[in-house]
Order: sequence, then C-alpha cells, then structure tokens
Amino acid sequence: MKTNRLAASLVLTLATLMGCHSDESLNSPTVTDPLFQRYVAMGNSITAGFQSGGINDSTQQRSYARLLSLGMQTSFVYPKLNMPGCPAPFDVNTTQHRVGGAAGTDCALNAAQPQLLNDVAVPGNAVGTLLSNFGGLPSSFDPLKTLMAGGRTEIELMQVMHPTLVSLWIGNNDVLGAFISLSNAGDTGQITPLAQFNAQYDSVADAIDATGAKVVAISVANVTNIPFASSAAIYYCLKNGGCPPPFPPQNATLAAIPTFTVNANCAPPAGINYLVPWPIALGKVSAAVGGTPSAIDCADTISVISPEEITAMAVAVASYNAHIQSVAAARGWAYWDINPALSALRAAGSIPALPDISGALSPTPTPIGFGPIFSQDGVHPSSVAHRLIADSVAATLNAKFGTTLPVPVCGTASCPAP
Amino acid sequence: MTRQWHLRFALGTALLLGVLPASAAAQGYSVNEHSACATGRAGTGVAAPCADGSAMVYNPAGLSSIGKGRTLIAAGATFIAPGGSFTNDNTGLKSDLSSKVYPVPTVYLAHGFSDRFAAGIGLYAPYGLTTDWSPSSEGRFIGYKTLIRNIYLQPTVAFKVNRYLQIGGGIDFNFGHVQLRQHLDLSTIAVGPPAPAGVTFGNLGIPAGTDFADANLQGNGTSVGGHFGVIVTPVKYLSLGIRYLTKQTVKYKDGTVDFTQINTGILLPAGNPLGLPAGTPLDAVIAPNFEAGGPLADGAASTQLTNPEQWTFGAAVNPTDKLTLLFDVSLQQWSVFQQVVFQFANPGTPDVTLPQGNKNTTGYRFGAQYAVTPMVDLRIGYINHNGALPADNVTPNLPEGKRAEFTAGVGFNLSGGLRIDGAYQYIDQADRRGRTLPAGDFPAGTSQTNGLFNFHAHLVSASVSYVF
Repeated sequence: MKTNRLAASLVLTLATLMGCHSDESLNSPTVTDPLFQRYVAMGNSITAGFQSGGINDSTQQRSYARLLSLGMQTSFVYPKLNMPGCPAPFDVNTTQHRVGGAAGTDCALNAAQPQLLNDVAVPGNAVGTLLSNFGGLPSSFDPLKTLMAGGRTEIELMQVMHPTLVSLWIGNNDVLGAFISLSNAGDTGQITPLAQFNAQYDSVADAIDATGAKVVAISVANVTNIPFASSAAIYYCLKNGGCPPPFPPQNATLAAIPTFTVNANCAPPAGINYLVPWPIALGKVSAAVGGTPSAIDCADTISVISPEEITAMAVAVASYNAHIQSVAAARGWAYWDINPALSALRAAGSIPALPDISGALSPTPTPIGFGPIFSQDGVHPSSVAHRLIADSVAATLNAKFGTTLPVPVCGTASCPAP
Repeated sequence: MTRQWHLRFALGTALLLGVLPASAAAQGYSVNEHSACATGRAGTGVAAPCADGSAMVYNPAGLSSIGKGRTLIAAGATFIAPGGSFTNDNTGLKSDLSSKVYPVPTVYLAHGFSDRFAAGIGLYAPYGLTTDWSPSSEGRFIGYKTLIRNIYLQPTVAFKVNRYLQIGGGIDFNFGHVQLRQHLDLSTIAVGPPAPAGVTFGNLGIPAGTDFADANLQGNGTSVGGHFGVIVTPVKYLSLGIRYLTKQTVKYKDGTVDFTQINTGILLPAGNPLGLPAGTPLDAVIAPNFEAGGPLADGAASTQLTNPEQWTFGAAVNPTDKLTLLFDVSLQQWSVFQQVVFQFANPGTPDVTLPQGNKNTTGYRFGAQYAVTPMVDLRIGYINHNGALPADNVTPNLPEGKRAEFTAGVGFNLSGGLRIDGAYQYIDQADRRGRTLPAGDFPAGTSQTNGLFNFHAHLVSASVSYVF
C-alpha cells in the first residue's frame, strides 16, 4: 500500500515536471493567408520598381509587388539599391538630370542584404531572359542582371525561395524595345516572334508550376497606349495650327521657332496614325532652338513609328496575351489583363495624348509631364500607378484564390507615400 | 520502525518536490550518459553510484565499495539519435538535422585491493557533441557539421575512510578532437582591388546564400585535469555526495583547414561591374583564391576550447529497503566558454571568431530505483536544465536550450557477478530562438535571431559488467 502511494506520488510529480519548460516561438510575419508565406515577384523593370529612368531603394519600395506584400503582411526582400540609385532616377527629365546629380552610368551598388530575395525582377528582362541571361538583345539594363540578381536568372532565384505564390508580369520588353527604340523608332525587328515567345513562356510556366506555387499572371501592356510616343498629328497642329477639335490649337512657342517644322504628311487625319517618341521630338525642338533646322517628317521611318509598325506591335501584344491567358486558364492561374484599365486611363486623360512639353521650352527647364500615371521617362508607371496595379492584382487574387487582401491595398497597409 | 519509515518517506518526498528549481539553468555540450544503470535513473548517483564501475564518472569515491580482491570489468554504450530542425522566421523554410545515431562508449576496469582501497581506470566522454546538418541547410555558413569529442582516460583511486566517509579521485587525460565544416558565402566576401575597399560581391549583386567554398577545420589536442569525490553516509538509509571535475583547456595547435571550391555556375552577364566579357565563368575569377598563396589555400589552423569545471551535489535516500530515491544538482561553469577563435597560419586567411557568451548552468536530476526482486531493478528519472547559450548565440553549431529529460531503465543482476543494464532516455528540448546568420548581419538594436530551433533526442543505453 505504501509502495503504491509512493509510486502514485512519483507519477504525479513527473507529470508536473513535464510542464517545467516552455517553448520559445517563431517570429513569423502575420500573413493574412498561408498562400502569402513566400511570395515571389517575377518580371521586369516595372516589377523591380524602376521609375523615371532609374531605380533606387525609394522607387523599389513603391513597386506594386512590394505594396502587395504589405497587404499580405508577409516578408518581402528586394535587391535594395543604394541611393541615389543604379542609375539614379531623373529629377528633371528634360535635362537628364538625375537624383543626387549622378550620371546615367553611375551605380551606387547593392546594399547586400543577407536574405533570400522575394522580388527577383530585373529591369530589361523579356520572357527569354527569365530563363537565361544570354541571347537577348543588348540593353542599357544589362548591368542590372549582375547588380540585382548576381548573374542568376529569375527562375533560379525563384526556385531558391520555394515560393507559395508567384506573380509573373513578363512580356512587355518583348515588344517594348520596338516602341522605345531611338535608333529606329518602331523597329519591329525587336519584337519577339510569337512562336518563340510562346515556347519561352511555357518553359517559364513549367518551372514555376514545378515549385507547387500558386500563380497570378499579368498581361503584356499595349505599349502604344503609353505616353512615351504621341501622335505626329498633334505635333503638326501645335506647330502649324488650323486643326479642328479635339486637336490642340497652335502653340505660340513652337510656332515661333522658325527652324522647327512639322511636315504636311503629319497633318490629320493621316498623321494621327504616326507616333513620335518624346525624346526624338524634344531632340528636334532642341536642335531647332539651337539654330539647326529640324523637322518631324512622317516619311522618316527612323524617327517616326509608322501605322504598320504600330499594327505589328498591337498584334504581337494581343497574340502574347492570348497565349498568357490560355496558359493561365490551363494551369489554374489567376490572370489580370491590364489593358482595359490602361485604355480607360487614356480615355479619361490620365494618360495624356501629348506630354506637357512646356517645361522643356522654358528658359529654366522643368520636367516634361506624362500625367499622374507615368513617371518621368514616359514608359514606367508612377508610384500612383503602382498602387492601382497593386489594387487590381489584389482583387484578382481574392477572386481566384479566396484570399482577403485589402483593396485598396494601401487603404489598410502602411504604404510609402506615392 | 513505522516512525523511521515516515522519516525516510518525508525526506524522499522533500528531495523530489521541495527542491524544484524556479529557473533551472544549463549544460552546454556536457554529456552525462556514461552508464545504462545511471542513465535509467536520470544520471543521478553522486551520493550512491551504480555498482558498474561508473562511479569513476559519477563519484570516484564510490569505487571504494568494490570489495577486497574483487575485479570489475564493464563496457557499455549510449546510442544517441537526435532530431531537430531550424525554421526561418520570414520564409518558414525548415532545415532538418541529419538522421543519424551516435554511439558514446564507456569502459571501466577496477580492482579492490582491500576492503577500504580500490583503484581503477575508466574511459568516458564527459564533453562532446556532433551536430550534423545537410550541406544545403540554411545554417551552412555558420556550420553544417560540428564535432567536439573529448575522451577522458581516468586512472582512479578510492578509499573508504570509515563507514561514514568515502573519498576518491583521479587524473583525467583528455584526448580531444574538434571539427567544423561550413560553407562560405560569396556575397560576404570582399571583391578586392580594383574595387574600393569594403565592396563585397554582395554589393555587386551576388545574392546571399551563394556557396563558393567548403571549409573543413579540424584538429587534435590533449589536456590533463582532475576529478575528485566524497560520499558521506550519516545514517544507513541516507547518503550525501559531492564531486568536482576540474576545468580543462584543450589547445588544438596542429589543426588544419582545407578549402574546397564549390562551383557557383554563374556566368557573368553582359555589362557586369567586373568589366569582364559576357559569359565569363565567375568561378574562374574566384579560383586563384584557392591556389597557394591565396587566402583560401589549405594550411595550418589552431584553436582552443575550454571544458568547464563541474560540481555535483547529491543525496540518496532509501524510504524502504527496496526503493532508492536520488537527487543531484550539477553546477557547470560554462561562463569560461565565451568564444571560439580559429586562427590560420596563412596570413591571408582572416581569423574566424564564433561568439558564445555562455552562462554558468545548473541541472537538476531526480532518480528512483526499485528492486523488484534481488535480481531485477527498475529505474526512472527526470532531468531539468536550461541552455548555457544566450539566444543571440544559439546557432546550428550547438542549438542547445533548456531541456526536460525522462528516463527509464532496468537492471539484471545475473549469477556469477554478471550484470546487465539497459535504459532509455528522451530529451525534450524547449524550442529555442537562434540564428543562422553571422552575428554582425543583424541591425543593431534588433533581435539577433532569425528563427527557431527545435530539438529532441532518443537515447538507448546498454552496459555489461562482470565482477569476479
């Protein structure tokens, strides 16, 4: 009996002792959904946070991918580029003056964080260069393949993270090169052939799906909707006047520059279908102001994007997007088409038909304005646009995967000011 | 008789319940499993060592009980099967300890030269560890394999002064071996000229976690120390014990370090900041570092580790003739172990310092042994202690923490002086925060940890002793 009582005491004591130590805990981010545990953003300059012809920690913080991560309440590491940038963004695009007075070739290097990357996007990447850093067309963005990704491909960096969710916005540069080429505006030779695009996109999709991650794909933007290039007819009307609405009246400043001309072949209605990149137009105006006769000529296929070239680009975008949408549908991905929103913004005037070049004509040059949606390079979305993109992607994720991301994302999350 | 029994029972209960630690402290990389008999009762025995020769470890004074003209030969082993993982706070990614079983052998030989004097020699390992992670584990840049092995060869003498007092002592000859294997992360390495000083490959964009070298440091060393014990038996049913194991500093002077290049497979893209042609293999750029004269050339290395002194106090009481309750308190001065510095003969190889910042520790052990029959003993036990390392220095090399340990065992006293013991022990370590990054990689003023270590272990001990 005594032995039994003692044994019972021992058992009770040991049971008590089992609770004598307590566990410490994981300090995980309080993700709003397990899907967001490891979010990887793949893409190009937009996803990386490139704005106004440059990129630095400030612009990177404002990329839609980083804003989304704030809504997800998940950890998000991007290849932080020291200030003023690599290269630094323009603060006055008309003079090409950059933040901190840096040159366009300067790079303040990578901050070298000791963590795996969530934002693996590299400016300049096309669908093919997600798979290999070689074989693409030479680009001013090439140094960033090392400085942001260390020579790894986006696919490699994505795989290391074992993602639970991937956002994939790729393909813009497969057609954009043609649109923004300053050596041959509208150079359709820079459009990735559709068969090649499709095959490479499929390879990317296979690699992502192999990780088991959920995916949201974003369509290729219709590059002809961006304010980098404007209708030649508008320039004609500004210079020469006499155009009916909705074309603008004659601009006194341009009209007063005798060495600057816009040829009659750019007059509406035919001139509507030619596009002039703003750096080319500005260059001609500047040359004229300097006394060198200069003209916008819609027969000049090097300086002007022709209707045929515009059509080729539009067809490429539509074809790419048809494939992306079919891939998304077949693989159970979420899919968001940016183009309806882009068209609506253009129709509403948020994307101007012609940039505000008055600053360029001022004795003390101020930036050319591309409206609230585009940054000072006329190609990359502004911080305001990144918020809109984040909201749309969040809504797409919620609809497809039943998540509860806040929309607008920055209505709840503590986002940096746009 | 009844009154005496109540006294014994009260004393035993007090030992078990009244001395529970409010905040138990820790045991570093000490090992306390040197006998299946003792392991079954939580390693207690400073006041009443098992009769299997392990008195040389648990209290040398206990060896004096062997008896005149009797010789003891014992051998055993504890097989340790650890399991554990590290989970990163931010990514949730988990790295697991390798699933392996590690044997810790013991051998004892003793002889009673009179009823009061005995001598023997024991071979045991009071300090040691092996942590073995996958070479791809997250903490590989701190260490993916750490091995510390200290085998003590201890000649021992013991003397029974009278029926109340036993004393004993020994000299410990320590044969030590240390090994650390780790990968090197290219992102943390300075580019060197013509790049400005301080610019690392990480600043050029090389991502964190880019393995480019495997380092294997190892060395052997010896040291000498002492081990002393006293047992007092004021009444027949109660004994008290104390033991002291001296500190030993083991100098590993003739170590080596071998560096093996790991190919990154990176081909430098066009426009790379090194100014090299597109397609240049980065590994070819790095390779000269491994050649003779380079900072990663193989060479001599040295370090030293200090095994702390140990004090153990304990009591054993017999509430009944068949039951023995035991309680030990073990104090270990881990504060002597503040850092590990690896020095290299190659002047181009920077020294490596692993901060430790240990604190002194205390472990509490409770054991019970019940003689079911004269031939069969059953044992149980419980151990509680905390970790020696502060959270900032808990790394893959030694992911230790406070532990609760549960033991059970059985012993068979067979005829002819043969004795067989077996024991099982489960180590339940509390989940412990720690880091897989170098200490300097965390912003000042923030937690110096980036995740959670989980650890547990199953131990099986078996030993055979023969007295003739």
